[in-house]
Amino acid sequence: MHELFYNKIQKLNRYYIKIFIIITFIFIFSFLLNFYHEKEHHENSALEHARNSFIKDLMFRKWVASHGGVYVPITKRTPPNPYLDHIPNRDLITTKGQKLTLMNPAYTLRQLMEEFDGMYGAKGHITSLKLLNPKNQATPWETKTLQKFEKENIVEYHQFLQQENEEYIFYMHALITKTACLKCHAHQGYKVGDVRGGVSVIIPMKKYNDDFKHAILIIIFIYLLFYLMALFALYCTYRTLKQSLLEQEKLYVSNHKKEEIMLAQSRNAAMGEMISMIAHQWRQPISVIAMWANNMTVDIDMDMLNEENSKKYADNIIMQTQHLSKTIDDFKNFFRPDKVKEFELIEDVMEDCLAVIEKSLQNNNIQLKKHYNNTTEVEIHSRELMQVFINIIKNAKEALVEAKIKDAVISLEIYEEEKAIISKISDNGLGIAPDVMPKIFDPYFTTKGVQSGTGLGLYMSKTIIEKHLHGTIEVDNIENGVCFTITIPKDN
Amino acid sequence: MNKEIQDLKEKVKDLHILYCEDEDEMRLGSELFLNKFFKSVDAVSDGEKGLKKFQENRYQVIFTDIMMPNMDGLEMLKNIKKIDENIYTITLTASEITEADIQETSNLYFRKPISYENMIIVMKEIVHKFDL
Repeated sequence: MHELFYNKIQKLNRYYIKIFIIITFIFIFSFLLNFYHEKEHHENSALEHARNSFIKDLMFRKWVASHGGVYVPITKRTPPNPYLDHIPNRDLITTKGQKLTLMNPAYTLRQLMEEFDGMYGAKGHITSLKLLNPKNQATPWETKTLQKFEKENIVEYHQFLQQENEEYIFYMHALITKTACLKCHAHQGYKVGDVRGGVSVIIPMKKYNDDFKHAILIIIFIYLLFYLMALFALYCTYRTLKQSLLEQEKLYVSNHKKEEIMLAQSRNAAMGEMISMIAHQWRQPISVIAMWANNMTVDIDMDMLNEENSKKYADNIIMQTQHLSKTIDDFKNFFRPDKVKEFELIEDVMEDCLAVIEKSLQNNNIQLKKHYNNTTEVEIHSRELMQVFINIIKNAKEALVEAKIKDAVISLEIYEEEKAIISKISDNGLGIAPDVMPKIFDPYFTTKGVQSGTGLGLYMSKTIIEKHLHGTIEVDNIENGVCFTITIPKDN
Repeated sequence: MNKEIQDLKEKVKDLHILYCEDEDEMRLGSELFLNKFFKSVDAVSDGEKGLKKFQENRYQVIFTDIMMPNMDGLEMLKNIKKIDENIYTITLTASEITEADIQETSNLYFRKPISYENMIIVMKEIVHKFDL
């Protein structure tokens, strides 16, 4: 996989892992919030139940107290209360001989609690730290709670506790001494406003816990459903994005390959051009060498050979080999790898280009007109720019030769503007046909037939100028001819 | 001493030759070579000068390059043929030119570089042409 896209997909992965963690966190947080809210709600319901049970007991007790106790027939179930001994008229006999005894609030309530124990699920118990009736002995929890009431000045307390593997709510409310209480308790030193006892209510939490579990199960189900939906949506978008990235990568790689192929093709074409130019450059010197050799041969054949002439021929041949050697250096220069940008004068690049191509222009009787007016060096890949110049000049040459122009001229103009160096290459060929004009920079477009043109020369020139040198290349038909304008920015 | 070459020289030596070539080195070498066969060789550096020389003097054979400044070889030959239809013309060129282009103006055509054998063929053709 291409590095660029590998990084992009890694980034996507990291992004989605972050989203996943955030979503999961939000769901867990929200679920816990709901869970505690629901738990509180059910505990409050249980507490409310306990409180109601207490209030009912209290009302009942109040009702009894408001009558100063009630008289009931003495039965086995309701014997006279020995702890009310000190009260006068505890026991009464009606005129008809019916025996009645006084039931005080505590007595009535205890009986009520004992006899209807657990009828509403609530189990009440009235108790005190200072007891009249030992039967009302406080449990350890009640004792602790009553002490808490005295110490902390509160009237109500509850706790959820486990007892024999079942959870219960333990509720207790203080009983505050009122005037009516003193009838029975005055002898104990009670004063109005004292906390002298309490009623505890114990309610099993099973029903509430079951309700709670049920509610939580529903919440879990809903949360899970939404969570899975969110994950599914996340997955879907992730897959779509990843697929589009892979798609992009495929396109990128194929484009990249296409570009590489084109580059290779244009390089091959340039190589072919070079060989043809070398042929032009070499034709003359090897012709001269051949002629000096012919002179030597003819001297031998005509018995005219002498040392002086032979030396002259050899010297001339050597001189030509120097010329050949220089040509090779010029071309080697062109194929020099051009990895690093260097500061160079555009006209120097043009001159390097001419060293290679000038001979081929001369051989076709094409005149060169040069006009340089520039002093600014720019940072460029000079070999690439040279390739562009050669392409354009070669095209001009071919156009001039094909049109059989008499006074064929190629004009080279290089000058500087405020921010850029302008190079103009124009010819006096016939110009470019209007229907061809928009296509000349297209890849594989050629007017020259399969043998001589690859259709990549101007396409690669445009690529080099725009992508590598950040400049522009434009073409215009001028008066009998074509003008290519190459603009290269000074701060490349 | 090569008898054949000596014979050729004897046969062609009295012909008047005009030679047009713009490259100095090439002209020097070729002129020297031609001088070994012909008594009279005039060498000029472009077509315009060649045409002028031809108008002033009489020549039987013209050797010419094609690509030259001012007037190229083909144009010069065209003009010369107008003056003397029987002139024998030999074109020696480095440029890629088709036979069709030079058929009209050239009796013989060779691409540079020209081998010794080809130069001898040229001489033999001249002997044959002028029936020497």
